[in-house]
Amino acid sequence: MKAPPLEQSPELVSLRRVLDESAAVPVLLFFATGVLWLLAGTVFGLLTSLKFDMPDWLAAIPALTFGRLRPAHLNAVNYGWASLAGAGCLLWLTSRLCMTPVRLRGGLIASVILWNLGVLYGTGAVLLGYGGSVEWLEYPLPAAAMIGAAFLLFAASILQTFRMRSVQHLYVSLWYTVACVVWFPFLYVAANLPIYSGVVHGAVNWWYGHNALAVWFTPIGLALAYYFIPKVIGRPIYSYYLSLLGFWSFALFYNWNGIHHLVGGPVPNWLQTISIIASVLMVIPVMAVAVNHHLTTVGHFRHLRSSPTLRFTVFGAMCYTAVSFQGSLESLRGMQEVVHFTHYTVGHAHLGVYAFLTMILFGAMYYITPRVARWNWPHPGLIKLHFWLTAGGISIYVIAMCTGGILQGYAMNESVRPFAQVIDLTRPWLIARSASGILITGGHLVFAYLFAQMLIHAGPRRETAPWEEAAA
Amino acid sequence: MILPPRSRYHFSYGHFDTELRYRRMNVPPATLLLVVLSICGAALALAAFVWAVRTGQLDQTNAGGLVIFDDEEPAGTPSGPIFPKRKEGAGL
Repeated sequence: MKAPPLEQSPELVSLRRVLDESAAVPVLLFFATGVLWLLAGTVFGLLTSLKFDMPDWLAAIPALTFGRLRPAHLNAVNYGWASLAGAGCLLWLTSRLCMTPVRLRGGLIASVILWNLGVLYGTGAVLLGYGGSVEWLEYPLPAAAMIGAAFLLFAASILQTFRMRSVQHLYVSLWYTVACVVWFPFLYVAANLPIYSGVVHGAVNWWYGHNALAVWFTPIGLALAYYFIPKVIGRPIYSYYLSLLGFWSFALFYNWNGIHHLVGGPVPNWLQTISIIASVLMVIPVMAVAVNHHLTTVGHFRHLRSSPTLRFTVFGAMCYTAVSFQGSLESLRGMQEVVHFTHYTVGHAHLGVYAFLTMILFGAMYYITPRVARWNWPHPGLIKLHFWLTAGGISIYVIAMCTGGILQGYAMNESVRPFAQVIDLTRPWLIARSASGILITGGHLVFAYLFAQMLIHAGPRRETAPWEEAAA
Repeated sequence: MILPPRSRYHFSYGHFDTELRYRRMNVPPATLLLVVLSICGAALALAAFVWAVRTGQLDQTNAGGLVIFDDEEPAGTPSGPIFPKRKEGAGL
């Protein structure tokens, strides 16, 4: 397809350079602290997983018991890694798509500091036993308030950059970006208000827990995939119309899904049914995204060999389709009877936040970091190692947890079977999970090493800069 | 999580008298505020949609996909970073 004649000024060549320079400091701060939280969160996760194989290990240290490590893992990877890295990517993307420098940079630096203090405070509180018991909202109120304030500063910067845009048409990624910075602060503040109790608290808990994915993490992943897949291949999205249909149906259906976490629970039945219906309706936006991304990439799979960004992004986009269909099925009452309270849910959660979101974040960071750090990735071989360790690791993880979870669910439903037997049944799958965790940890160490080299411009200098590179 | 003491807004199932139960279901002002804010949020989304239709954001259904390309990074040209050219027999 040929590009239509666009009126471009010669200054445009340097405009991208100006945009990247405006974004450099905040984006690198978001990325660097995000990578630190990725490492911390990975350690928490791996320890948690190993405790299933060796229950007595580290059991004498209160801070390293399961009940504290698990929420520490959840919060460190979500509010630390995925949110910080995602915010960095959105900043860069907004500047690119609005063709204007990043605004309110001072506020962004304050935001990174406040955000990290909040995550540090919250994770420390969880480890020391001061965490709450509401999943996804374990941080004490002061930590949540710091993260909320940091998010408002970040949102203000995105919205100001958006307001100063010099483009007429809003690209589909921009719709997702602007929508999520408006949605998420409301969600986060509303869920953290100390006004709920009883069943209502449970309903608010999962309204929040699911919507953190629906209005924050998923829009980040989709905004990045909608930009990087066409950009790296050099071919516009297959059907732009479909992408907009996808966005609006996404906005309409996704925020109703939360209560499907409580199917069979004490919340009113009609509330559960509405959530199940909305979960099934999610097939529409998911199909729109899946068809669009596939038909954009089809015939260009050779670029997967040459581009690290495309490898990670396409892997993530495929997992988005998988996790969403899995989620729609999982919300059905018949399926819930089997998989509720099993490891299946854990597998599903990691397919979403890791295989979809984190892999897309890696892909985006491979594209963005060289442009803002003005240095090319020093060791291409290590990038490949990073990909295969994480992609292989998470594939084993999800297959082991979902298979083990279904077996566990059927076994638990047999009322005559002793519970200890059900535990024994899950053991090989949990060992496989820990093994995959070791692979993933290895991948993260490789990535952190590469990223640190980018920050200090270390390692061998590559001949061409990434912004001049084009795959043959 | 800091929880407030059981307040007068706390909804209690301690009464078997249905009428009494409904009479006691006070809606706290904070909840009402959240409901109002949610409706405002939905109205904002609707306003964004109407704005998008009016300003032709949904019209350029094919050209819209091309706004990420320009003279510097034209459509048809992949963009990096890329792995260096593979040597014969090199792995993935």
